[in-house]
Formats: sequence, C-alpha cells, structure tokens
Amino acid sequence: MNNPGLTIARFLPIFLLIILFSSAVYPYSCLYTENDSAEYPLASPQNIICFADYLYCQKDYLRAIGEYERIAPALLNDTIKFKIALGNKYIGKISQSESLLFLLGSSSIFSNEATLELFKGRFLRNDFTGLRNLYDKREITSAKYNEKIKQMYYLSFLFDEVPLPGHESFTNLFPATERKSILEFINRKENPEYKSLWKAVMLSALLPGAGKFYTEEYGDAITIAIVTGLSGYLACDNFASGHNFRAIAFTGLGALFYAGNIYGSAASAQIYNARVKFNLTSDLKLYLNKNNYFLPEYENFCK
Amino acid sequence: MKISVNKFLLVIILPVLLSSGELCAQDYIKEQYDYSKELFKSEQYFDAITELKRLLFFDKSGAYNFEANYLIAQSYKSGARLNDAVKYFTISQMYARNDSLLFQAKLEVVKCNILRHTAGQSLNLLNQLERDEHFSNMQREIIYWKGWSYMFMDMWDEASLQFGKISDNHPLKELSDKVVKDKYSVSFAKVISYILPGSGQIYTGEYLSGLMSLGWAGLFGCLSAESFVADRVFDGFINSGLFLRFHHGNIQNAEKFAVEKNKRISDKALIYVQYNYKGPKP
Amino acid sequence: MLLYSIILFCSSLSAQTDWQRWEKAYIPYSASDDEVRTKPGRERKYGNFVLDGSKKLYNFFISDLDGDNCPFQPSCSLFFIQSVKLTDIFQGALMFADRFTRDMNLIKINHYPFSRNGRLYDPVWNYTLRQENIKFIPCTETVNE
Repeated sequence: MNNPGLTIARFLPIFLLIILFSSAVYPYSCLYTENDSAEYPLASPQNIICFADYLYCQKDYLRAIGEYERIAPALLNDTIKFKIALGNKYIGKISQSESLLFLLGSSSIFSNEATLELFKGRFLRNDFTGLRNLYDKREITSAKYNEKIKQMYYLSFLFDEVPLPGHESFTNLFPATERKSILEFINRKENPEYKSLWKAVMLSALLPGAGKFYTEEYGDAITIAIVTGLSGYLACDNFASGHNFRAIAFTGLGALFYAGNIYGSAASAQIYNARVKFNLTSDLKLYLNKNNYFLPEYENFCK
Repeated sequence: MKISVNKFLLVIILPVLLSSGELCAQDYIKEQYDYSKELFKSEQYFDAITELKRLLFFDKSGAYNFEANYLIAQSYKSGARLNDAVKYFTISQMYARNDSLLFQAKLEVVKCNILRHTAGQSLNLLNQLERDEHFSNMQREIIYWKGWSYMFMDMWDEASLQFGKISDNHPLKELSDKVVKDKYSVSFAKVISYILPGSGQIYTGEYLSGLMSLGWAGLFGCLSAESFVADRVFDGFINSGLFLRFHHGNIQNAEKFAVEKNKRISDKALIYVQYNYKGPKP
Repeated sequence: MLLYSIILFCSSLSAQTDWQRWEKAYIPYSASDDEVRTKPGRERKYGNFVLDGSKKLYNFFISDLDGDNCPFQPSCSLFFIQSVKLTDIFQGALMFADRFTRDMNLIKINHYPFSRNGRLYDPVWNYTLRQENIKFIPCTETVNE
C-alpha cells in the first residue's frame, strides 16, 4: 500500500479524468475561454473582445466596432468605449464618435484623452466654429491637455474670417522659439496682401488689360490689350472702308472682349485673394505638421 | 496486474484524452467554418468575411487556412472588390495543400485581373503557369484564359489564335474573328483624311460629318485662294489659318471616330460574351 | 514570421475597403455596359433643351470638325453652357468672353492645376463673382476630373 508507484497508478485514472474534464471545459488555450457555461466558445465575451481587438489593430474598424457592440454594456470598459469612439472617427461616423467622446470626457479614465480628441477632431476637420463653441461653453475641459486645447482654440482664429483675440495672450501660449513664426502668421492674417476688386474693375475699364496686370495675370493682360485693340482697329478700318457688316461684327466682338475684360478682372482679383487665403492656411498647416502639433500620444492600443 | 492496467491506460488512453481538447476545439472551428460557408451561400458576403476572419483568428491549427482565405477572396470578388480578392487569393496560395488547389487559386487571381481590366498582369501570370512543369497537364485551361485576357486587352486577333488552339470552331474564336473583321483601321482613316478631307469620317460611316468637314475645308481653301488673288493678304492669312484648322481637325475627327467605333465593337462583343456565352467565365 | 507579417500587412491594407458595409455587386465586362445600366434619367427643362441643343449644333457644325484645340477642362463651349446654367445669359456671356481671352493667352503654365485628362482645370464656379463659391486649387495639384 505504501508503494509510491502503486499509489500513483491508483490515482492515475482520476488524474486523467481531471485532464479530460478540464480539456473539455477549456477546449483550446487560444480560445481564451474561462466561461464554462459558454455553449459556443467563440461567442464568449472574452473571445469577442479578443477578436475585436485584433480587428481594431488591423484597422478593420467597422467590424471591430460591430464585435465590441455585441458585448453586454456592463462589460464594456473605458478602453473599449474609447476605442469604439476612435474607430467611429476613423470610419467617418463623426456624430457617434463625438457623443461617445463627450460621455468619456465627463467621467472615465480617458477623460483627458477624450476631451483632447473632441477638440482635435474638430480642428482637423476644419470645424473651427464648432471648436470655438465647444471651448467657449466650457462644458468639457481637460486638466492634462488644457494647454494644447487652448493653443488649438487660438490657432483656429487664423483659419477663418473671425477677428483675432489679443496678440499677447495668443503668442504667450507658444514656446519662445515659436513665437516669431506665430506672430508672422498673425500679421499675415491681419494684413493680407489682398487686391481690391473695385480697383481692378476701374483699371480695366480705363485701359483693357490693366485690371489683370494689377492682379498679376500678365499674360492675360497682354492678350486682352491685343485682342481688344485689334477688334477696335478692325472695326474702325472696316467702317472707313465702307464694309459696314464686318465693322459692326468687329465692334460687337470688341465690346464683348471689353466687357469680358472688366468682368474677368473682378473675378481675377477674387481668385487672387482666395490664393492669398489658401497660402496662409496651407503654410500654417505645414508649420503645425512640421512641429508635430496634436500628435496622439495615447493611441498605443496595438503596440 | 493493476499496474499493467494503468500502464495500458497511460500508453493508449492518455494521448487520446490529451488530444480530445484539440478535437473539441476543432469541432467549434468546423462549426464556425460551416456557418461562414452558409453566410457565403446566402450572399451575405460582408458577414461571411467577418466570420471567416474569426475562424482564421481562432484556428491556431491552420486547418482551414486555405479554405477561409479562398472564401474571403470569393466574397470580395462577389462584392466587386477585386483588389482585395486578389490579395486573399494570393494569401490562400500559401496554404494550398496540393498543386490542384494552388492552380485553382492562381487561376482566380488571373480571373480577377481580367475583370479589373489589368489583363496584361493576368497574361504574365498565365505565361508563368505555362512554363511551370507542375501544371503541364493544365495547358488547355491556361490557353483558354489567355484567350480571355487578350479579349479584355482588345487584342482580338491574338484571342482568336489562342481559342483556335483549343478548337477551330470554338465559339469564342468565331466571335474574335468577327470582331477583327468588323473593326476599322485607324491609320487608314487618318491617311485618307489627309488626302481628301472628310473621307476618313465617311470610311467610318459618319457620312454627314465627312461632308461637313469637306465643306469647311473646301470653303476656307477657296476663300483664302480668292483673298490672296485679290491681294487681301490679311483675309488670306485668316482664311488659310481656318483652312488648316479644319484640315487638321478633320484628321483628328476621323481618328476619333475610328477609335470610338472600334471600342463600341469590342464593348458589344464583351457584353455579348457576358450575357450569352455558356462556357466558363471570369 | 515573414508570412505572418505579409498576411498582417495585406489584411490591414484591405481593411479600409470595409469601413462601410457593402453588398453583392455586379462587375460589367465593358465600361459602356455599366454606363448604360447606371445612366440617370435626363431632366427635361426648356432652358436646358435650348442650351444643350445649341451646344450639340455647335459641336456638330464646328467644334468636332475643327479639331481638339481647347486646352481647358471644361472646354470653352461647355464652360459657356455651365456658366449660363449657374448664373444667367448675360453673366454667362461675360464669363465666356473672359474665358475666351484667357484661352488665347499663350502662357498658361503655372496658372491652372491639371485635370486627370492632362488639360488645364478651370471650373466655372471660380468666376461667378461669389467669393464663397471659389475653390482655389494650386497649380501644382492634379484634379481628379
């Protein structure tokens, strides 16, 4: 009885039964199944989350969100909710993303990140009015990213037509090394090198082509001067030669070119101004990208 | 005696019991595969892909790697997402258990390339298959799909040649021959337009346009000659410019008509094949 | 490991196509087959009929026969039609006159972005004199139209 070999042999069947039982309940270690009541292990919450995490890291966001949403709401932790919000943002479902971020921003372990994400989303979508409304209402704030959010708030004024807030409070938000560049952008916004539409119209009315010359479309200006001048000359010449039909045709053509030149100068001034505005915006975006503003530090769920 | 019974248990039953866990897992995996296939059959391709991805994620044994990737690719193909289909057919090739499955997956890549009008790529793949001795008994099929590739590359004479290798009266050979016969020569249309304005358009069956071209070129040719004769140099230059513009335009127009008509003939043939041809299609 | 990384790479590339649910889709063998199937019904408006009719006549009698000369996208005739539709006949005529002189300018490089077909992209909405309509595109870009 005291033979240890015999004792092992006696308990071996029980030991094997335990193994059999355990392997039936936990059929396969990779299934991450700890729920012995699960009828179908692949449908257990742990496995669904595991699979959804995998899909999320594959950037298969719609499927990942679908999987997360299969889980009972009580089991959805803040990380999953934040991932659902980010996933919705990536696939363009902005309203779903924002409503979840609002919820997370008010109370969760990701409240700082969710708040920053709300502001960042609006900034990157060029919804500057929305960003300022969000900031002014102060419904949602982040202690950790307050500085960044404030920077975004002030920078948003540079992108649209709204008057800028005080220079000093603006530039003081940025490190001393960047203040000069920011001040330059502020100056470009406040004193844009726009062309006057009416000046272009008046110039072109006085001398065909002069309006386009003013808006720096030199090739067009020379062409207009030649075409209008030639039409006028041909009209006069034909009147003088008694070719009345041709003369009237050239007069009409000349008048059309003259009127078109005035109209075109106005349009050209507007396009010139649009270019000035576009250049400011694109230079500013380039500067922000170059200085790695608003890079997400928390999106490391897949690392 | 007791010990020998337990030894028996240890040697015979233990491995069986230990593997039972895997067998159970395989049951779930098989069940998952069957469910995915059902979704595929009921044309719920998006959901089928989700379930197949789940299968691939949990099936660590890799038993369904070929089938799952192949079905994902087929689902994408059914949703006209041919780039994704090509990716997954290519992945499935890595898990092909034999030459027949490998050939099947490779051929699907060829078909996707034909459908997405990158038939040059499918032709390269078919040439590789033709040279591969593993597939020496599949030559007929390779030739057949080469014919299809040429049809989609608008090289109907080459397509006819390939289908002719299969059979002299292959329906697709007859169709390819008809397309070759019906098509217009673009260079001929341009050359005759150069010599006589409008003739290129008339050759392509656009009689009214041809006559209009002839009229404009004739009118401005005459007017410029008349102006130069009457010493009206300015009018002469203007009219000559207009003559040259219409003459040049007539050549461009003839080329445009020939190309457009040829495209229409090719398209008509492809539409006919899609709806009426009974043989294997991409 | 290499295989696994290739699979991961491939599947992450394909994921973006699944950011919206999709259904079974038809693959036409020829593009023209698809065009016929998906062509929307035409709007029948008197103004459009007159404009489209005159454009067809212009194309048939002159534009098609004098060659492919317009460097712009949309072409001058289409620009005229679009400007009349967007504004009115008078403003449309002025916009066309301006476009015509710009067409005659031989130095057009570095002024307009290129369109997909290699022409200079010059859309009509930039010339309606409404600042909010202007979509400035730098000449370094290629427009997918």
